[in-house]
Amino acid sequence: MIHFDEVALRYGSGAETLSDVSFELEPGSFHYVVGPSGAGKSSLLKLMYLAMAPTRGRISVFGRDVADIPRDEMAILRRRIGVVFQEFRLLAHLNVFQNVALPLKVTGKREPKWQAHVRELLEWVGLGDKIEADPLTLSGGEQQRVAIARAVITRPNLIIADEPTGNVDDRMAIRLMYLFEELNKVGTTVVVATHNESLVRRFPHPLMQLGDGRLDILPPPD
Amino acid sequence: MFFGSDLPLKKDASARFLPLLIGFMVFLAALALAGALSMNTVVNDWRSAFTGKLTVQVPDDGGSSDQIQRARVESVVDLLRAQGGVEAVELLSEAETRALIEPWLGSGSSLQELPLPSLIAVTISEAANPDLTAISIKLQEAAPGAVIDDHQRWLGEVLNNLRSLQLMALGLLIVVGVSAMLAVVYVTRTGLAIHHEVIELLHLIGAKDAYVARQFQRQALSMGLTGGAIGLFIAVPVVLLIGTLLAGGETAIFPQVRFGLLEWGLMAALPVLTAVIAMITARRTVLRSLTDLS
Repeated sequence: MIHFDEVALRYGSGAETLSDVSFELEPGSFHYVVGPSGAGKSSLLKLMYLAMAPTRGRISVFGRDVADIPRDEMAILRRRIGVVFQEFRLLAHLNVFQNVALPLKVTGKREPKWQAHVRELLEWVGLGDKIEADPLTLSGGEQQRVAIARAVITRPNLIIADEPTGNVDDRMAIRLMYLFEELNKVGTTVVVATHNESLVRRFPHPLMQLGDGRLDILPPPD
Repeated sequence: MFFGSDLPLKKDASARFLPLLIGFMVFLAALALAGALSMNTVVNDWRSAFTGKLTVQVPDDGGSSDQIQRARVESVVDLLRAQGGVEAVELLSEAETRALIEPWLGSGSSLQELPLPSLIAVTISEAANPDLTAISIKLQEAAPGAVIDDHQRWLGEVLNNLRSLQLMALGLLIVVGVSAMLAVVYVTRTGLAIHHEVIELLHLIGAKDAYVARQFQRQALSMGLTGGAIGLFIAVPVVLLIGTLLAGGETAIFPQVRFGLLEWGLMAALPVLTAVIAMITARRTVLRSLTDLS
């Protein structure tokens, strides 16, 4: 699914944020990315969801070396990846429904085909009554759920979530984790960056531990 | 749940500025086009008016009596009628001759004092190709000083000048078009810079460059049509007003605005053409900029 080989990332002329990172994620796996703030979790995720190119090393996603993928094919590859951004990145000029439906729209599919699907998902994340709301009028937790709904609406092969439960209460956090678990059970590869140790214990999966720019793969916590 | 643009381009300051700029461009382009089309009408009118026409001038030598002058003119008329291919020979009266000059020089009293030659209008059949040199020699024998004019020399000069004016008008059209394109490029690049975060998000959720370009090209088309319609709406009455003023003048050297369906169709096509150019320019600008950024 994802293969990193001796990957390094450096911003400008500073020190390497990630150094010699190598790992392979199998299809259908579930991993947490953990580590202290500034360890490079977000940078690792950005490389995985193809927002950046590595300074050195090779990255393969879905069996394709990303350095060799033409621009238009990269877009098609990205459609197979659902991303929950840490800062949500909802579009303020679109309502909740339009934000969630955006990944479907960019594929060129017609609205009637996916309208019911979007409504159903919004009901599931508890935003059935906020379908036409302006995202800026929602609480942080509600915005996060919109962002999660947008990431999973296309039923992607790979879901990458950066602190997806950071702004919701424990009950909603567990509910959202169940959503990721359900998607994982049907074959979706899931990578979740989190600081929430209780969730990691409650839903045990292997850890991608980052520290000083290095990565270690650890077994699920007991 | 109808979707508009994924980018809030309508809220940009450029969305208000560009239609006005395009409107002004289309207004100028419409005036230039109207000028070029009017001159085209004049060129065609004059060319057809002087095809197969000759004018013979028999000057008054100043010392002869009216009888002698009339005899000279009649001999010239007889000579012309005897030539092969000549369909009609018409001696113009003095009043008709003055009427011909009046649009160029006005109707003041000085016109009445001008000594005028006798003018003979000759019509030649389309198939005929008379030897003007031979006729001219015969005319000199019949009435020394008589001049034959097939109008080609001065007509050629006038038509060349009109064509130059037409080229200038078309050049102005091109300048206006290029200016509009540059404005669209500037506005599009500004939009790309303002909305770069939204564009990055669109890319991350799987949008191709062409999808992003469509957002801009739709906006450019809309702004082009709006601005174009405004420009044409103002230009048409101005063109009609200029046409009315020219038609009411005493001189015949200015072109007349006599537009048919084709001419009005070309004028109406201006905003559409401008909008399409704006759309294509926006698309190419976005695609090129995104490729350069990658």
